[in-house]
Amino acid sequence: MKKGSVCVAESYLRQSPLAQRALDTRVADDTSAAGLVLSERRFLAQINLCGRIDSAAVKAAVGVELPTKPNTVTEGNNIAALWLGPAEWLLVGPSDAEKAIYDALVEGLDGKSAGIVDVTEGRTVIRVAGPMARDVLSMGCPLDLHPRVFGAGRCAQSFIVRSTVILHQVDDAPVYDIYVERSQSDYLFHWFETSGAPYGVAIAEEPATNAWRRPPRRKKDDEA
Amino acid sequence: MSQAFRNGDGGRIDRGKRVGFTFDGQTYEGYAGDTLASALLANGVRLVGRSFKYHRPRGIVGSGAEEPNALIQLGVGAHTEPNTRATQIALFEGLIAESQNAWPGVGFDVGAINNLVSKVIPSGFYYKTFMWPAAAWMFYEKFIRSAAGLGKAPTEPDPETYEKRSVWCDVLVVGGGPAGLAAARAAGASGARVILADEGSEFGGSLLSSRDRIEGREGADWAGDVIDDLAGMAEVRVLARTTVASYHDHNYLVAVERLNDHLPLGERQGPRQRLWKIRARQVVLATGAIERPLVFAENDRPGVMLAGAVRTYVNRYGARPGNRAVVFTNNDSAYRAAVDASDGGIAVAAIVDCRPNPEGALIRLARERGIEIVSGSVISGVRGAKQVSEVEVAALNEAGDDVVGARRSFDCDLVMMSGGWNPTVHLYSQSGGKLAWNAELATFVPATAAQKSREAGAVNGSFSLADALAEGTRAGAAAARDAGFEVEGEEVPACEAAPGDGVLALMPLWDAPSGRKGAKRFLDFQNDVTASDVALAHRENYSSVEHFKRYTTTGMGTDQGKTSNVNGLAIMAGLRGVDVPEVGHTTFRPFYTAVTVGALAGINSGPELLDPVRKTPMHNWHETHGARFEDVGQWKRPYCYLRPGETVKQAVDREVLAARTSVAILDASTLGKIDIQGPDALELINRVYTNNFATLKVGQCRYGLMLKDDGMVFDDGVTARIGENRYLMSTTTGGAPNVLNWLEEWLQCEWRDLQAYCTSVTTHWAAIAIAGPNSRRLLAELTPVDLSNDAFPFMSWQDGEIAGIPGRIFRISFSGETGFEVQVPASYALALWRALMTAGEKYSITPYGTEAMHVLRAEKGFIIAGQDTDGTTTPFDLGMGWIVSKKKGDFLGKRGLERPDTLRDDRKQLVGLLTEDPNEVIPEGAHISPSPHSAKPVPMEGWVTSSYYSPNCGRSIAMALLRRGNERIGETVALPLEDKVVRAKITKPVFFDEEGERLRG
Repeated sequence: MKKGSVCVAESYLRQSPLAQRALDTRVADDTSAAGLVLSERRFLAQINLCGRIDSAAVKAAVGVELPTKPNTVTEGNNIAALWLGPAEWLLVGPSDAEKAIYDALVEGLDGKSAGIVDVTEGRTVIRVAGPMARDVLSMGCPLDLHPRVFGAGRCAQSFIVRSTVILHQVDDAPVYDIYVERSQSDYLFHWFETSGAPYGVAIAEEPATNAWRRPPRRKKDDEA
Repeated sequence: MSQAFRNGDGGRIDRGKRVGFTFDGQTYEGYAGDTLASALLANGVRLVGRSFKYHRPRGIVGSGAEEPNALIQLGVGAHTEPNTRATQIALFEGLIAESQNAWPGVGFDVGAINNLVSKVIPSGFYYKTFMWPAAAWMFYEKFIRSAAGLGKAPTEPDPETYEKRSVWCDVLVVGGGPAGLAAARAAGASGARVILADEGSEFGGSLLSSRDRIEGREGADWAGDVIDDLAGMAEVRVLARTTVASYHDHNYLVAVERLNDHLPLGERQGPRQRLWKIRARQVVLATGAIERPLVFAENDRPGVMLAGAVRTYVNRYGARPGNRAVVFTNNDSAYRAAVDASDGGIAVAAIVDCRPNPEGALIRLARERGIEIVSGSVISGVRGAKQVSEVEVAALNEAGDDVVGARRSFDCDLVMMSGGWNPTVHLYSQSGGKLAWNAELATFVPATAAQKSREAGAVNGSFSLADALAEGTRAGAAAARDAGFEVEGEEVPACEAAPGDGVLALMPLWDAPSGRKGAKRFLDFQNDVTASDVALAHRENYSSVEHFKRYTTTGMGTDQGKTSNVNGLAIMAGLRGVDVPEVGHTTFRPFYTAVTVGALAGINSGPELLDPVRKTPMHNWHETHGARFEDVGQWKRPYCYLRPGETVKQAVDREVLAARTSVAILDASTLGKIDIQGPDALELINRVYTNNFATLKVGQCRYGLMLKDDGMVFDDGVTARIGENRYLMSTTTGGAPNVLNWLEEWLQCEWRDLQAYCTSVTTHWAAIAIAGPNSRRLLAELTPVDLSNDAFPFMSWQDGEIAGIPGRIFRISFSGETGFEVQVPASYALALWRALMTAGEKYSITPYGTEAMHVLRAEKGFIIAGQDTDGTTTPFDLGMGWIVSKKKGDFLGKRGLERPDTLRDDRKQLVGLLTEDPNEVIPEGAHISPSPHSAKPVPMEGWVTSSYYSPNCGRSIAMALLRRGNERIGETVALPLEDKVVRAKITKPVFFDEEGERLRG
């Protein structure tokens, strides 16, 4: 968007990639009996960042430190920063924050050689939980997801069956966030439901997120 | 007949649980713990199948994966599975089994006539009909196919489900016999992630068939205790009924777990089988050994069995494969089987031993039981059509190549043979491990491992229980250590085995003489290969191992020669007068035993899960509005929208006309979009496109053509300058990932100095193309942006709000009409589409599909990269020389365009074709020849790349790549089709609005 063009679309016009699955009408009261518990995390703000990034500038601009260790995730100020490559990250924030995070990054990294792209609309996130979560993932993902190898705070780009995904292990339960391209999300969700069927699949409510607030801007004098 | 051959006690079956089953229509009873084979033997069933080629009666030979004869059509209807081995089918209530390769039945089989005419279908019959004359195969094929047989595949879809899993481990132990159990226990104790897999339903391997003791317990009980120990270790996974079927590079192994196959149909739940894709840091192969048959006259009669298999039936299943046995051996191990058979109630009439003077502990044991030992002798004949009734025994001459003296006969209903043991080296060999010939054991054993694997026990040729336990313990501990774990202590379990355990003292006997001409001496039971066939192959000079195998078909059955290969190699070695290793061996290939296709496919079958289905945000709207979809890569795109009663052609024509007369919209969301940023973004774009982008201003768009280094067209699309250092590149739908990879390859490998960053935004932005004379009027109703020609000229773009949604408007057109492309964040695209449809009602707005898009662009002569180009087409071939910059310094493909081949003047060039009959639409791909009367071979001068009926031109139009096409405008060419020859005039490849007035209007 050109700067200054303020146009916010009405939210009722917005449809998530998995809208046709009407997940909110299928939310289970009790998911404890299910082997696999699925939900869609809709409209998470996603900003792809690449180039020779000044991590301190990012921290100052949006409030999260970029991870330097491959395939790890750092969190701060309600943003998760996923390491995607030696010079590539995905910043994930709460829904509707993409424009604010994007603007803050553009401003904070002004004049630096970087690629900053809003990719919010390009993917959705399928949250995968339940006691069979790891086993069901192993039915499609070739990675070693054993807790000795891949634990909470880890991320990786890989495949689930034939879909390119980003996996992010959120906690030790384990709970995973699976980032999948929106065009393939219906296919992948169907795959999860089919793969998990023998173990019981339940749909959970969409996990809540906390709002992102821009960190207070330091005055030039303070920096000196 | 109710289990007349079942002992009153002993064995690991549960006599309290009777299990009813059906074989060839007859009902029988067995016990829980039986295999189909053991239950059939306990019921006195000896004849279980007919051989492949001669349809000779055959009985059970082995007790495991090696079984060549007892191939079963298991189950009925959609559940039926062919070529299963009775020896590995766990018995369950209601099991239905049929013998194979016999019509009308196994008792009387019409095909048995082949046995009588075997002289005219000798070995090499198939080979020769394949080879020469070619026409003969057409004649033989029908006959051979109907007579060839074995089992039948089900005709219904598979009702079962299957599961696949990837799993990683530190140590994979293959085989749950004494060596494997010891290895798994040693490795598991270290805390390593261990997987132990065994194909059987019960762990213990050879322990289940023996009476040996370990750590003061029966071997089988010890095995059960070890499994209990392992089950208590958090990081150990124990997989029963799991065949590790293949061993690939990087310690990647594939195993199949049979979850349900042992249960009655009504009790099955969940997936039938699970395919494990295992990545192991270290592998321990404890795969055991398979006993080798002896090759002797009429050795294929039902009732001739492997000695060790008989021992298994007696010890493990309490089943007697016969009541009176003759043993034929060249080594000590058969004595152990004879002793156990004798103790299990089988009268052993004699042990025929080819060795002149067998001695040792096991021989003494046999003598103690009063068993007669006929040494220096062979079985020279076997009588009994459908079951052994008598054997003839003769002494060997001094050279061992013929029989001498008087023949003796022994009445018997069972022959127990042992020609030694072959280590089960299949997985080891698949892993790339090299084998060495062990002359003492007369077999191949592992020599040099190729991967991180170890072998333990019988697979190493270490046949004693003590050695198996010791090697297993050491291998398990070492594997865990190499995987980075500390191992404390390596205590080898103490065992008490029979005297002489593991001793073979083998004397090779590869082809026992019989003194009778014409007596068939079978080598490969399943494929009906005899020793004489090997001789024939040798006479015809098919004596190298690969030729010999294919000529005789040795080892090419479903059993992959588990019992036959070494015997065949040794017989060939004898004929050639060389040692066996000089003949060599063929490659062991996956899978060890057959794997169901269902297990390999898992749930990834059917239209929804075979391959990812990519859908646009408007997919469901398309679906509910009559869209007929086509696959474009993985995308589903509407081909056209059918109205009730409309044909596809009517729908396409209607959509094409609407775009030229009023307004039509296309879901263009699938087009690839790449965001390119950075101070060197322009430089990158200038290097990958043929034309110049330096003059492109912010707010403008430009069409570009991308070449591979060889100068051939690779992709095309419009690139918009979004900001000072920011561009949005669009690509073809199918080319999107390739273009991004192409850019990244150059940036990451060659142009490391360029600061340019590429990010795919294909699915972030959804796109709708609006085409037609009313497009501007329609769009103007929904956006405040000034769309007039002056404010918004062709090939420019602007930010703007459309129907309340922030997005971008591009003044571009692939239809050749006045048109716009609107891009909005994908989650708002459906709302925008609906808004356009509603606002467009007054213009009879028409959604159009890919076919109408194709027709519209073809009318204008616009190419589709990948349809009108095929990787051998340059821009000049397409008549697009105007897009190749002569001023620019360099770009990818520039030098390719200067190669002599790309400069030839007789290249194929893009032209238009107009058929003489305007209603004739030439099929795409049709070849072009100069005249319908061209002499053979008809010269092929090009082909049709695009062809449609154009309602706007009122006739068919086509584009083609034609040799020297540019200079042949006006000529007429011929297109020979299947049923006629079509004539067409060559034109320029533009059929409508050549000046492009509509485009810019």
